[in-house]
Amino acid sequence: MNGYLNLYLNSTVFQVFQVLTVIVCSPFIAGFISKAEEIIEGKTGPSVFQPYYDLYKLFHKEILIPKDASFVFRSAPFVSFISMILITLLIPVLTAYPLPLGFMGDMLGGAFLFSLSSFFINIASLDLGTSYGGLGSSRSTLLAILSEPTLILVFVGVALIAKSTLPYVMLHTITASLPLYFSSPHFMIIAAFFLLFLADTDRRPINASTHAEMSMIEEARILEYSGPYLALLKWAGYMKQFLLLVIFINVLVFPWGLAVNHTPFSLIIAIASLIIKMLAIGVIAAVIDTAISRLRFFRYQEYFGAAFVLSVLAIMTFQYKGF
Amino acid sequence: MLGYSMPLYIYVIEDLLVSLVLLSSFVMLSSRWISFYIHAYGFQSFLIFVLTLILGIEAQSVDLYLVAFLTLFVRTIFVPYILLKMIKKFNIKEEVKLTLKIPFSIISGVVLTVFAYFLIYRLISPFSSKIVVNASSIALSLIFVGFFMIISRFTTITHILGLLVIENGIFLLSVVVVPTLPLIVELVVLFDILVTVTAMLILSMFMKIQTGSFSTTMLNRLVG
Repeated sequence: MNGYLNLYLNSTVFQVFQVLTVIVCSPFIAGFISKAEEIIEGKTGPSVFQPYYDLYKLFHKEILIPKDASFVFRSAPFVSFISMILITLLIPVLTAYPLPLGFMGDMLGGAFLFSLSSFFINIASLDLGTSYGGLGSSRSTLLAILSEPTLILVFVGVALIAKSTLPYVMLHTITASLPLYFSSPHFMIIAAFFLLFLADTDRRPINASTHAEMSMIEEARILEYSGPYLALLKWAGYMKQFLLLVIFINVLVFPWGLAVNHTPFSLIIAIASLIIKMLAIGVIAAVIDTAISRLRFFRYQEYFGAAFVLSVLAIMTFQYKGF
Repeated sequence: MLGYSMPLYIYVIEDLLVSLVLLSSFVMLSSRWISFYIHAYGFQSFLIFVLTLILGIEAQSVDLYLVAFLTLFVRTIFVPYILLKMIKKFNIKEEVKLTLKIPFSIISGVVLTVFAYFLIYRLISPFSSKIVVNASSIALSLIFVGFFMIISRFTTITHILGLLVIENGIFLLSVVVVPTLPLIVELVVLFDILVTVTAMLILSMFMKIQTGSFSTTMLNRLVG
């Protein structure tokens, strides 16, 4: 009886730490990537803790809401933030074994929550009827239309390899069989997901994250927000990047170094290894972001076509792999 | 020989190499620049060289070593070298003239690949192992993609490259399905490439002199 109680307690502690890691560390990763980009460009750049300062500053401003705004405008930041926290519960952030709430949904559920957050920001930007809001939401909807088939095919590929859509099962399948880890379908899925990661986090081949209104996509959607609402949206954006990195690293690329039991020591190891892996991938993302020039808007389909081809070929080659 | 008793890591490496060959053909389909196209072809041939060499080492067949090194010299070094030299000499405009947009040609390539998998599955899957099915489907899809390159691009250089991709597919198919093919057949195929490339280069040089362009859309001017 006592042992069961301990197990429940420990699982709860891990679950809480899972959410806290994502909430606390996500601005740091964003700050690190932008710092790395600045260093590669030969500048000093802001501190890695700059996103924390920004959030602090924004949370201490007053709340300003335009007078035409409806409830959609007011609820979008909260929906976005809470969907990110819910996704955190579904994916293996710290532990290699599933935590109690990990069975709430599979990877399709996670994709649904990402889309829900994006959808709410879209309709909130349309809510006020400003021109830049409509521009941003139409562009981001086009990107979603182009990227969603690839995302679904990546999940189909993962489901074929793991015979399940739960991310924990994929992690175990890969770590259990090295030939499967080094098989071509796995690498193609990794490449397709990385292309999607670059597109979803607003990186270079797709969008330059500029503050010039003519070329912005993500920024144009939240142009009307200010103060604590903007802080929540920004934080949700940092968390989105962090969660995509977690899925990329802990489910697909390098699922080692996660906690395997309920001890405090393995918790510390898991957090430290997660941060180190993220910094490594962050440096790669920063190099790509500075080395590649931005694609023209009407050539985005080529980029997403490449990702689509990779995912289809992953499925085809998996059917007849030779082991 | 492929499909018989070999260590597991060989299978994994073969699978990886074969899928990289397929990916390089898609790189060729999606490239806008002729020099990039030629380099992708060289890379593809290099991958086929590595594959043949590994198969030769595993099967301990001297014939396969010889074929592998001939592939290295002819396909990876010689053919890309003369094609690049030709481009430099005739100052060919770098951009490939495309009749179809790139996303459409990529998707057509995917459709052709799936068709090749389907055909090979119906043809040889009952009596061969899965790795042979995979590799030979990719070889067949190289043949289809090569044909598609020929019909969708309108310069002679890309026509030559399309022929060479078809040829790579045939070579891959022969190496994978019948690795014990007599050496003379492989030599004939390699000699075939040399003759094809040389003849087509000479012909396209004449065409350049006659019509002032490498584009085959100009051929109606040749009416006598």
